[in-house]
Amino acid sequence: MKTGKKFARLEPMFGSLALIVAACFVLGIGWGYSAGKLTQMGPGYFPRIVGFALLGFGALSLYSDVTNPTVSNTRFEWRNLAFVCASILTFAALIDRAGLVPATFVSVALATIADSQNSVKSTLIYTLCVCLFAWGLFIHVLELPLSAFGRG
Amino acid sequence: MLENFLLGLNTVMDPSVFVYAVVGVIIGQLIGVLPGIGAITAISLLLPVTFHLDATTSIIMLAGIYYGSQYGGSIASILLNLPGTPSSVVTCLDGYPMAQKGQAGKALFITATSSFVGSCIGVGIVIMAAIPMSIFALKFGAPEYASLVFLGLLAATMIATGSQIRSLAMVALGIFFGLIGSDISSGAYRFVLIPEMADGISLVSLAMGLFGLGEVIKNIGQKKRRAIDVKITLKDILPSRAEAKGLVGPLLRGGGSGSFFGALPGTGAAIASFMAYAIEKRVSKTPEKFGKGALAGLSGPEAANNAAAQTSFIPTLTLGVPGDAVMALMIGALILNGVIPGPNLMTNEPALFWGVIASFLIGNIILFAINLPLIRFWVMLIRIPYNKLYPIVILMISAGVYSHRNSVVDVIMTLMFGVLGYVLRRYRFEAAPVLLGFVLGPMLEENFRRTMLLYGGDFTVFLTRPICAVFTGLAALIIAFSIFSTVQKGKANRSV
Repeated sequence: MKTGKKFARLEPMFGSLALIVAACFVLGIGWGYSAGKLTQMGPGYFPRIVGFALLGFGALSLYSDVTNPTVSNTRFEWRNLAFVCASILTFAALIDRAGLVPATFVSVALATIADSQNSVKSTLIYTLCVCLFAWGLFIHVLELPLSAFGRG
Repeated sequence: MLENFLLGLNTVMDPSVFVYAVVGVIIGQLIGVLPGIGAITAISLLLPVTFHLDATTSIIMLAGIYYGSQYGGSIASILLNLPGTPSSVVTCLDGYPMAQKGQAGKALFITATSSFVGSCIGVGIVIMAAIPMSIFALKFGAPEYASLVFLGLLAATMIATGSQIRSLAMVALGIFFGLIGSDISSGAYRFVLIPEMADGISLVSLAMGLFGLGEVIKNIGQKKRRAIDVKITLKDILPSRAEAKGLVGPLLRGGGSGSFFGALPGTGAAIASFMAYAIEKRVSKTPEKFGKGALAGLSGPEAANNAAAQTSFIPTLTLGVPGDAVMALMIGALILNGVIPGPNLMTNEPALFWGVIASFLIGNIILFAINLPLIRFWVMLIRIPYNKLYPIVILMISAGVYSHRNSVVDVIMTLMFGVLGYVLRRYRFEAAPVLLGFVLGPMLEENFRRTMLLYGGDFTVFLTRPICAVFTGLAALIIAFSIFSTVQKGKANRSV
């Protein structure tokens, strides 16, 4: 219960905190590149400026999150995020090995499930239609260098 | 000027180019109508397709999508109270109340006409300004470019809808993404974590992820909305003579102010429409009618956003400096097609330069002609539920990104940017400045480094060269104004 409350209080600050982490990453890695001098800048000069800018703006937005916390009125869409990730990752995994049609089938089916309003039957019919559409559009109309089935 | 324009017309009227101009504006209108898919998403979706076309045809098609979406955006605003594009938010204010009163047909007719008039004013200004701007742009050296890019980045965050600090943070994040890959001067690799990142982050992955996927993740599961029915008979759609007379002022003011804001770095169609609405309300004798179906509140902003959509191409094509995220994508598309935008574009690629400008005129005529006759079709499209649309968008993103370089890594990168785009929106960070920072960042670094090298690290060069001084002065004004408004806001909060 206590942890939940703490999480809710810290949640509005996550965005700014992530920026500060990103700034530390930029500065940490960027420091390894030679900076040179103002008149002869090395590859590390500009990344340092950008890193410090990120750190500064991240800190300022964190300050505004602390002084004026705004709680988002929408919930975090874990379901959407998970299914969209699954959909794209399966597409990436299948496109080289199995071809466009199988990759489309699995990917679109997973994407459709993200919306809980879709039933199994409608998902199946819809997915098959999209496969047909994808095969026609990508392979025949746009002539993209993709293979419909199997390795390209 | 006229013969250049005729050369452009000649280019567009070539059947192989004309087809893509028509395809571009129709896709644009369609995208504008469909809520949840913006012009940026549509342009990024079609970027991979343009690799199979030549540069002129690509840009004509992509530009058509952009200004076509300005027409379509107002349809969803009027009938659903749901803006199809950011610039049509204002159209909801007076368009939807008109539709509720049974005047949807008239509202649609007025927005279509205003869009057309606004675009024509914009195109006229582009034609007149193109040559002087290109000559002026030839005077630009590294310090001028560095200060202009800096001003553009600053202005873009100033007018952003959210907090300015957060937008500045997003610009810095975008610049960081632009740093990834090899350094232009030394060739050293920077932030290359895997070999596939050696060429830098692909613009296609970044744009599709941040805008396309980010929007999809946010919008899945949204409820279906009911569109207002629309009657299309001549009597229902035409405004009365007195009403038509009252629209001349708003149209001219909207077209003029829109053209101005469109050409400025950092501002775009959305800002132009908000400004035009504010102007119309200020000059109106009946400001109380605004928000309840005032015709001037509908036509002024609509003329402004369309004019701005045209004039935003002036800095993009003549200076190679994009004013907003859409224009940043256009620059990206040109560069990917091997064309470097800038002052020399007009002399090196006259057919492309004038072809794009002439396509604006042709495109707008097509848009005006198809807008009202196809209204039943657009209304039908509005009724497509989002759950039948988004899986196709996800597929287009995956297949589009993959086919660009046959790279699975690009697809995974797009997903990562998609998650980032969703998380950013969730924490009230805007995604558009990231894209602008990504495209302008390398330009800023290159020109800043060159300036410091050429002028021995002397910062006064930004004040002593006249053009630089103007840009630096404007940047200083922006900074001063934002500090002033933050202090004022702080005072107001404390006194509450």
